[in-house]
Amino acid sequence: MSTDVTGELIYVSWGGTGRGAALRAAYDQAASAGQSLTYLAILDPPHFSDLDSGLIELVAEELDWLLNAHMRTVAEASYQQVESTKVVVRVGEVDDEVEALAKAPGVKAIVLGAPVDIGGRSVHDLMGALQTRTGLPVDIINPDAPPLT
Amino acid sequence: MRFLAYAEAGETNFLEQELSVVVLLAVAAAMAIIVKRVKVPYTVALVVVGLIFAFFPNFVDLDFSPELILGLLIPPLLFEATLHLPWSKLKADLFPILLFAIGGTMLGTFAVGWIVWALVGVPWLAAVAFGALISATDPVAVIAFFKSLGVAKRLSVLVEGESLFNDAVAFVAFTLAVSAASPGESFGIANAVGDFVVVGGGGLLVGLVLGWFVSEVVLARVDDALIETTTTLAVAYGSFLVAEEFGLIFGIDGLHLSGILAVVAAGLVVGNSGLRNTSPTTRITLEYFWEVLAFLVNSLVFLVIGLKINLREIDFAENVVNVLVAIGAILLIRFIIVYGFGAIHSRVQPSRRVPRPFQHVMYWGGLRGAISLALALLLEESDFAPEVVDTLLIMTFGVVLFTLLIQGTTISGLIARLGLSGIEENQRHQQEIQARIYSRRAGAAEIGRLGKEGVLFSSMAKAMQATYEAEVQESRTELSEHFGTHPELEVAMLLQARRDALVAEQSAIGEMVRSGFVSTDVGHHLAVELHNRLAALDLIEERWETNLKPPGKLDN
Repeated sequence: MSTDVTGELIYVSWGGTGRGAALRAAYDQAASAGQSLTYLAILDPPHFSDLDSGLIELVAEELDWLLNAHMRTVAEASYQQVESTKVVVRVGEVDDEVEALAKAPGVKAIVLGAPVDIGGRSVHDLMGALQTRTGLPVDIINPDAPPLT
Repeated sequence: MRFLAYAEAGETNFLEQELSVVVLLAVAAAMAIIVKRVKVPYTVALVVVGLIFAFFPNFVDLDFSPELILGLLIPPLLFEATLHLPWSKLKADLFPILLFAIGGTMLGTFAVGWIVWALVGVPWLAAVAFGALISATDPVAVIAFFKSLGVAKRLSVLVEGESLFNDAVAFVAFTLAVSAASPGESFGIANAVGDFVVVGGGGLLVGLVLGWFVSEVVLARVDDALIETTTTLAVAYGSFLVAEEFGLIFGIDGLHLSGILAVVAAGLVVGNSGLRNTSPTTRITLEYFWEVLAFLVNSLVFLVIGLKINLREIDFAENVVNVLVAIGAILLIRFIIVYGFGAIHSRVQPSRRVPRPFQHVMYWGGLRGAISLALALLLEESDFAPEVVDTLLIMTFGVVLFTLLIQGTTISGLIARLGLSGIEENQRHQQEIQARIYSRRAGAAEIGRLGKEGVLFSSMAKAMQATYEAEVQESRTELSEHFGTHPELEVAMLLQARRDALVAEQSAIGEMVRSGFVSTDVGHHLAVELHNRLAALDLIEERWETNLKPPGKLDN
């Protein structure tokens, strides 16, 4: 990470890269705040637990490739530039994975990219839980962005 | 006046048949142009024209026997359809597809058969034969709409997969019922199931073996677009023939296997494994060849169907009730199959349940076509009484006409009403801009070529190229702004481009193996890796990109 950045913004998604508007908004937010941006993609149990470990590893690798390409596309299109970006793909529960990543020094805020309920739990419950567990501000980025259909 | 003046009355000669085919192809081409304007399914238009031909019996004189339709026209149609059916997607929905195709067709055979037996009064075996032949769905008209409306690939795979397998099941059930009607034969459920397993399983096996041979031995080792394309044609007809004449070829008296299932299996293997072993040039040649052949064969099948129906000879007053009974029976039983088996499937495999709107399209999109009619025409050679055969033929024609003319013309409205039309205005606009960029670049390249070859003055070529370049730049800016307003389109494009790129990587690996730059082992290892990448991409598209609702809640 570059030394002149003022912290890190974590953009969390557990599906629906199609909400490209949310990633663009997160990118612009990080650029305006002079923060680095980490795209945390989580392959969560409700959707991926039936896959065997080999297959889920492949999905994670391919998703990593795609999200890196997506991040570069967003960077190309943006008028502002984020000093440092990275993509992290994890397999597990959303709360646990966000908490694990948020422990790293320099993380300033968390934004959720998919304002949808998860496994029968409302996204607002999740926000509250993440705030408690990480002690960081958690928000839904660009909640009016059109969902992927 | 006779259209083909040189032919003697009543005489059918080769030139006459050839000219008739030419006339039909010209009509097919004309219809293809017309339907682009009037938004009617191409196959529906062809059947209507074929029906009109019946009033001009001397216009074309073509004698397509049922065997010829089945043996010459059906194999390439099935092969082409399976060639583009991705195994990864078919595998994901194999359970519901087989449930609808096997369970549904068996239920349809006996339930429709029972209704027809009870209400029309034809013999039980003839009614079962009718139930079987009318259970074969034909997705050609529906799939054409799916493509133009941008319907989800999963729905397309469900409809095509069900149709391919139920054609085979219907064919086997039909053959068993007709055979049982022969003197000295009987129809027992245990025997029928045993025969079904042998005939169906044997056909599948023949197709798998021949498909594997062509994929791994020919397509993987030969790098010649013409030879490879010819080989795929040979395997399409060869698998059908070997399966149907298995007993004759291998000296097992009277053993016939399912030719249709053999073609389906061979097409799946070649499409999913064989094509990956071909160079990009071969792939393009092969795809164009099969696209043209499918268009030609489809046109002929539906025109010939129209010709065979011969409206002038049908006594409508006498048969209208029978036809209405048949239509009512297929609509009722199709309803039970789609929603009943759909409910069973949802319980067994909740994570893969077929969404309710998809079920509506599967129900109303269950059109009947070429296979049903070809099988009905085969009844003429059965041991059923001629008046029974006539009744069943007219009922089949009635059902096919109803499904094509009523269901076929209203299915697009249903798809739109259910909100399943994937191409929205934003996406259409994006495609328009992309197409403009692509075509202008092609224009600029052509100008460049003409300039280089001295056909155009160099200064003129440069000026024209610069004008093109300015237009391309303008379109690029427009595309970028469009993505800014609709970022979700950007991701769909990213996924499609990634898929194309992985397929191109596969072809490149195949080319390196063929030219000896890398060993077969290394090539195989890399090909498997890319295959896995594509499978992973399918999963991402299916689960990650539609992850806004948990699976199982997508339809409500």
